[in-house]
Amino acid sequence: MSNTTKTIFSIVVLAILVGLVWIYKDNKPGSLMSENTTSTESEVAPVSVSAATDAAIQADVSKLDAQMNSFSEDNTSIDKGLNDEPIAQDQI
Amino acid sequence: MKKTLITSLSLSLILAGSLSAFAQTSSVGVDVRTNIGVNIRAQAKSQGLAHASDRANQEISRRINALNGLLGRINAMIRLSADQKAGFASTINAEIKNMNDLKVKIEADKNGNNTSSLRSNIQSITKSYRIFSLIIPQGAIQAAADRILATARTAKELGAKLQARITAAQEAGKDTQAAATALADFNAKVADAEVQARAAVDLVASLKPDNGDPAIMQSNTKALMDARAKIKLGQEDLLKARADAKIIIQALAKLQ
Repeated sequence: MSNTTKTIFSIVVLAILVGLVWIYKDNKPGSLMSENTTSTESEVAPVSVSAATDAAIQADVSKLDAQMNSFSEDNTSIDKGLNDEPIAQDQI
Repeated sequence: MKKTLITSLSLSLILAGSLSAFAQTSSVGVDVRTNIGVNIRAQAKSQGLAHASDRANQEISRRINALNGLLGRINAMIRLSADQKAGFASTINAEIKNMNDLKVKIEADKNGNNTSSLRSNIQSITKSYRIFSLIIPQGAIQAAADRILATARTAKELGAKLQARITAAQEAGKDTQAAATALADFNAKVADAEVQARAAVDLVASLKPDNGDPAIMQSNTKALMDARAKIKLGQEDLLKARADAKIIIQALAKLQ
């Protein structure tokens, strides 16, 4: 095998390896929310003062309060999951 | 002499008849006792299998209910894409199917008095607990993180409106120092809440069932507890941001 052939062969093998790594990275199962919460988390655009009425502010505050009221429910679910005990099974 | 002979023969016949009757009665007694013993043992076995299968079914139903609850919560998540929801739902549904399949097998074991199969199926409930005990808190943490991120989004929308009002007041020559300071803290808290939520998700997203490995079990437990702490920090950040919002709104009201 000539040196040129070896070089071409090495380049082809390297290209295939890089391609495989690329495909693996793309298909790797990651965090459930990684795409949504890191790369595509959009910032909120500035608003004009005309859009920042008292009513609009109050609507956001009410929505915020409603969402935060559910924190305790989430905490209960987590604690229940962390402290779960199975029903003891009979030894037969 | 003849009379004596007749009497002796009669007594012999009576004695032989009595002995035969006694022997027969005695044999029936043994049979009855044996049958009673067999029946009692069969009944005890049947009751034991029924009790064991009942306990197994209680645990299976408990898990199915919890998994269905988690499924509902996952479907309600806002920051999760349809594909991601489908992926996690498929994991949960697979576990629900396993549990339902086991339920059917256990019922068949009970009805067929199949002790060894029932024992094996009950053991598989115990073994599969390692999957359940990971999926449930893992999903609950992801759902809580999703809620924090959704709430942070709402807070940011509110922050943008409050910023617009502060800027307008500032341009009108009003003293907005207190409101601006509170808004800076508001924004910092909201940003940190997002950081904590993402960190919590990253901690638990790739956890795998320990399959009896104590080291993996320990690291899973630590990751879940750390993620739990981050969820708590994220929620506290948002509660503080909410308090800042109240200060800003009151300060703006005074400026009007």
